Amino acid sequence: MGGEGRAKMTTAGIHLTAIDLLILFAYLVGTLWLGSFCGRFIKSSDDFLLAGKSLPFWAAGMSIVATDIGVMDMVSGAGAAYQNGMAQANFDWLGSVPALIIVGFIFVPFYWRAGVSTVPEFLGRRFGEGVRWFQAAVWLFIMVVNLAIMLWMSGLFLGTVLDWNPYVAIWITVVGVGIYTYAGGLTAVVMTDVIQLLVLFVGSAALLALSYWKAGGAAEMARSVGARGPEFANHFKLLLPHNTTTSYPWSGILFGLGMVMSTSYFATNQAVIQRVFGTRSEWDAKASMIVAGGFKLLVPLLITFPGLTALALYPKLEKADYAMPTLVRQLLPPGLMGLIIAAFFSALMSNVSGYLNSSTTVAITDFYQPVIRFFRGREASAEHCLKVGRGLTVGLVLAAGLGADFVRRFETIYNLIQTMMSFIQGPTLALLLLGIFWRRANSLGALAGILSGFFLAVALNLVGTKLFRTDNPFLFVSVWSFLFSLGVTVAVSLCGAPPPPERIRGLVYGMVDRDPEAQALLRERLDPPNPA
Amino acid sequence: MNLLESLLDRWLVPFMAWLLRPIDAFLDGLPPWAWRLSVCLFLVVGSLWVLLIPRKSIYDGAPTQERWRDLRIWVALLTLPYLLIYLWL
Repeated sequence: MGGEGRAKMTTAGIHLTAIDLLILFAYLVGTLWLGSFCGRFIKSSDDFLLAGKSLPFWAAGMSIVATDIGVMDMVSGAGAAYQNGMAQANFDWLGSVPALIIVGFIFVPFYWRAGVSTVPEFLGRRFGEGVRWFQAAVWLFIMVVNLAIMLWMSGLFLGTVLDWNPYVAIWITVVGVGIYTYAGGLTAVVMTDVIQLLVLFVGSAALLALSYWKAGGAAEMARSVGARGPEFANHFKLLLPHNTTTSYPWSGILFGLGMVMSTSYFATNQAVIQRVFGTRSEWDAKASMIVAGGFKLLVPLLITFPGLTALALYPKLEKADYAMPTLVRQLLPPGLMGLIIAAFFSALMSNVSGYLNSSTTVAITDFYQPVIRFFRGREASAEHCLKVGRGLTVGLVLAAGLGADFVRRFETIYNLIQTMMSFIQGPTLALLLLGIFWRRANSLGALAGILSGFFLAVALNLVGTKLFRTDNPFLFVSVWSFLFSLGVTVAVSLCGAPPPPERIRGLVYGMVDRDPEAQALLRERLDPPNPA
Repeated sequence: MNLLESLLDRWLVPFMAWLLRPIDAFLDGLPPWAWRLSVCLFLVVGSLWVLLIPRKSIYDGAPTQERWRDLRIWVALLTLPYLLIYLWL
């Protein structure tokens, strides 16, 4: 282990054998075929954006997890485990359950009964167009920039591991994902996600098994890591003290991650919630969240644990993020190498296709359709929206491919986007909770609440180290911005008039099941009368 | 930016510090078993409240009323491994 302990990641690529290339080729061709095959069933914008509301629970649940894991999550997740230890696993464990259950049984029924396609659309119906456009603009910006970042960082990773030009990896992804997302919409995205998740799990499990065996098992790993010094004493602990210098104290994990950030993430991230909107029934929608929770249980085994085995095997890596690529290079035999590279491509493609389809949905539902309605005084037809949706898909994936080169010049842009997401999550959760459970919450209160919560989060981030013990106090910032947003929305709403009952009927708890008028409105929303 | 930071230093930092210090002191004093207990309670309460939902609402939209489609059982089975992880690791 001594020699291997000094292993460094170099820029020399992995040599892929014929069998590796065959596996990779078969995977890419199979994915393209499956995605294009799904295109046969697309007849309208509802089919394209929401899979014609036909997804079974198992496919939607697996797709939620596949969209959630990108190549960078695998690389930086293993890197964070290498650096901070097992506490990293909380992001998939306490960061998934109970959040998925709360979202599945509280938020999903309301979205479902409101018959909406996006979360901003739900907030717009409940609180007015101002809140809708603020939410839609922020999420669209985040998703489109994220697409470019994913493409660049993944291109860089695959380029480094395979010794390819990063642009080759980027444009292979752009063309591949673009073709099947253009052809098959959400159905193609979800069905390819199912295959991609299985490939990802099998490839990563092989890597885990090999690295675990090489490290000599759990006891040997704990011994060799523990022997490195007192700073590694907590490396195999899930919960760290409140005064830890890492970003993951137990209090932040419980209150910030478990209660606020993860609930808000699963309730508001369009890339996640769109799969739920595409399911064939309310029961499937709820069940898909539980299935996602089941798969999430395994994710730390495939991401966090390899990071820990890398620490035991190669303790002197230049950067923690080299943990996963180093294991791949040093341990995998021919055949398995092709499988793990296919797994990386799976993670990349499902991540990109998920965000691509969701960006298109937000752009069509929250910007294009309202603008057409305003100027023409009537709804755009489903066929017209399908054409626009497909055009936008091509435009967005090309823009993201070209934007990847732009993103390369700003190293901090990835951190900026992640930080921005943490700013918006607390206030959005406050708004959703009050919108669903408190009929007195009004538009002005909601707008004041979301803006004030957002600005408090920015302010706390600016003065972070003066108040919190870690350099990156995002877990605590989300809690305080949530509480502040909650307080401001309540205070401003109480100062104004309550919203008229006809506006919020069917959108607030207690006004759905017990109100016959709301039930009639709901039936009308779900099965609109035939205009003919 | 400097002006903004100095304003925040003057108004926000002292107020938040006044709010945070007692909370930090309380959380620092909690023993590890209390962290574990808090997380496990959150898991149990946050997930198993679903068991209180009436059967009719659970089956809303389900094609059949078979026993395996009772999502309350799914939630209980899902929560168990998570609870064991936080009890033992």
